[in-house]
Amino acid sequence: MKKGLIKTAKISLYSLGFLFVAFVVYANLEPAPMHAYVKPISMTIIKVDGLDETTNSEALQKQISQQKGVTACTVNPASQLVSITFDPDATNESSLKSLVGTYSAKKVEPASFDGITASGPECPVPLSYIQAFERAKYAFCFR
Amino acid sequence: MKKAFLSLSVALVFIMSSCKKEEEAAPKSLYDRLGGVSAISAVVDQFITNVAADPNMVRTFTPLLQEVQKGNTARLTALRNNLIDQIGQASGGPQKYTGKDMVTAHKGMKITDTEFNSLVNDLVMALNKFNVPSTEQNELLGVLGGLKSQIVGQ
Repeated sequence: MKKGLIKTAKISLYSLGFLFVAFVVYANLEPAPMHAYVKPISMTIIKVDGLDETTNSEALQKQISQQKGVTACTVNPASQLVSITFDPDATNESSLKSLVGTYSAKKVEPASFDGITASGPECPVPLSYIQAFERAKYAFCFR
Repeated sequence: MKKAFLSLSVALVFIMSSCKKEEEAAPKSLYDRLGGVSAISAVVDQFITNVAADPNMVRTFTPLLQEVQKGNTARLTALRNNLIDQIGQASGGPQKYTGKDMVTAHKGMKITDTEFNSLVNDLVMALNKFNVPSTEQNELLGVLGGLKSQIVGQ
């Protein structure tokens, strides 16, 4: 029985080693795409009640853009929305929401996009799984 | 005497050969003139925020924005990555766009001319924010504008 267990363990180890080598070869078949060299971002969209043309949107946009971790910001009085992309390691949604409320001096809340649903077929594999696999692939790409 | 004459001749040959005109540097690609991957990703981030706040784009981007508001950024990440790769490739960058072709990606969405023009306007605003020169803007818009027939009305 002991010999059988050792044999099984050896086969498992060799199989895992083979799979790992095959994965590294697959990861290096092509160079990593451009987006692998940029840091991932998150986004938040905030509804600001009373944001209108009289609000100095450019100044508000500039103030928010200068915050640590913010990569881009748009203030649109027409839709009363403030959309912000940010580095999730440097800042978070609640801090940005507080900032928008402070700078605009108006009531803020998360924007709601209910009422419209997506239609059509979707990939059965969750997109986040595919992206996690891609990140692992780029981690082993040495080109 | 002969040795001195030979040495002088060799020296003259070296001096004359070093005086040749420098080869003209190859013209920079649009990708390099835009500023490479970091500049392109900054423009893409600004473009995405412009689109997210654009009232004309609510219909087409709502499913993505709904997921973002719920904390799931997978679709946003996929869109951003594809945009970076596509603009990079279109401007002559070293990498390739590996996403869906434009017809497949927009099939069933019935994008209108108004929505497409609004999207282009959002991109122009993003390019203007980073003071991209008009020559480079026109080059990039010329390349991406050629995709209109593959996007509108699908």
